[in-house]
Amino acid sequence: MADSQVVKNHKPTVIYEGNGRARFRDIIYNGNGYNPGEFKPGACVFKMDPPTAPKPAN
Amino acid sequence: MKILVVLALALAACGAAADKSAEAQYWDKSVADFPALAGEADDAPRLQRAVDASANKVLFVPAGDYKLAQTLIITNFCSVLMHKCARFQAERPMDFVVRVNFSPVFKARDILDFGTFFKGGRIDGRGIASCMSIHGYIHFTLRDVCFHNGKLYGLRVKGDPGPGGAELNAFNLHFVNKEKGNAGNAAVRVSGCDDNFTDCWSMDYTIGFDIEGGANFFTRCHVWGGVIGAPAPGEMPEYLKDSIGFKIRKNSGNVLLRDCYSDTATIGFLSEGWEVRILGCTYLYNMGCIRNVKPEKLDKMYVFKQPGGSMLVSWRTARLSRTTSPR
Repeated sequence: MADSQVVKNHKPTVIYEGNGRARFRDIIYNGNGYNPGEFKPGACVFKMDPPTAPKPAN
Repeated sequence: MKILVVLALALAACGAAADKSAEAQYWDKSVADFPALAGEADDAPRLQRAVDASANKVLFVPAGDYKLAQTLIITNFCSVLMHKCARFQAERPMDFVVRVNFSPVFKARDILDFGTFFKGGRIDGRGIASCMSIHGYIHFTLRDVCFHNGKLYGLRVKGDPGPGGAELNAFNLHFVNKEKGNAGNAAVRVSGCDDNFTDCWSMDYTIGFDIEGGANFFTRCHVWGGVIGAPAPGEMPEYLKDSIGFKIRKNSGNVLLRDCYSDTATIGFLSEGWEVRILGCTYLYNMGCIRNVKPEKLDKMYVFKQPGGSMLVSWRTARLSRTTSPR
């Protein structure tokens, strides 16, 4: 089920926002392997400084 | 026939004696043996007498409601065994309903009691008091306790000045807030170190677990909310507004969340600590809780927010979901 069908009136959920050192491994989003690039622009924000960018899911 | 009857009676007597003996082995004194005195309008004085008479012993609290107009203070390594239907409830505003503080004797290691515990029952702040403070402990066991309606905290760990505050073993704790008007409160606020929380639930506190200190580990802890409605139509539910499932402060290190669940909070995991590990944890926002909120009143939601520090989020089962529960 697409998110737009589930939620009609909420702002986009931010998966990650911050400036710390973070590593992400094997994240699952709604049952699918998570890759930040898979999200539609504007649907969520995943911002980090390039040197500490999260590792996409394997 | 007479012989059989006598034998049966003897066996029954032995059984009763054995039961009583088993009880006596487990607790030393009962609050039932400390009646209220003339002029005492609430139960705090007799509870305090019972605690004071039970240094390094186990005090049993029978089922029933106990009204406290002043804080019950435990400093003498009295362990408290509450019947599951025993309830301490605040009768007037105070900081905590129960304070455990061994700090005055913490440095006298030869008299420390590493087996001290508080088990069972309910502590109800009724929205006018926080429920429990534990300070100056070392290897203290807290289990099977319900914390209701804490004004600022359900449980505050190491919140006072003075030494001590390590190795709290907390199991099966339930934090429920049903009182309006205390937004900003926290189910658990931990500042100790080497504390372990396992199988704990929080409902309708603004912050589920507010964590600082070193090497505090949380396993299968679940935060949810949204049952208490909005203060006005179209606004966020009172305890979801600015809510945080797990807040890890910047003076934290080596914090572990394992198989924890942030279930409906504005920020699922807020981390500023160092070497934080969030493993196998889940985030969900139950959209049914905010279906009547005006769009302009909605909080911006975050699964992870990390203003600083370092963290690892892993491992396969970290599931980020925002589907709704059936309603």
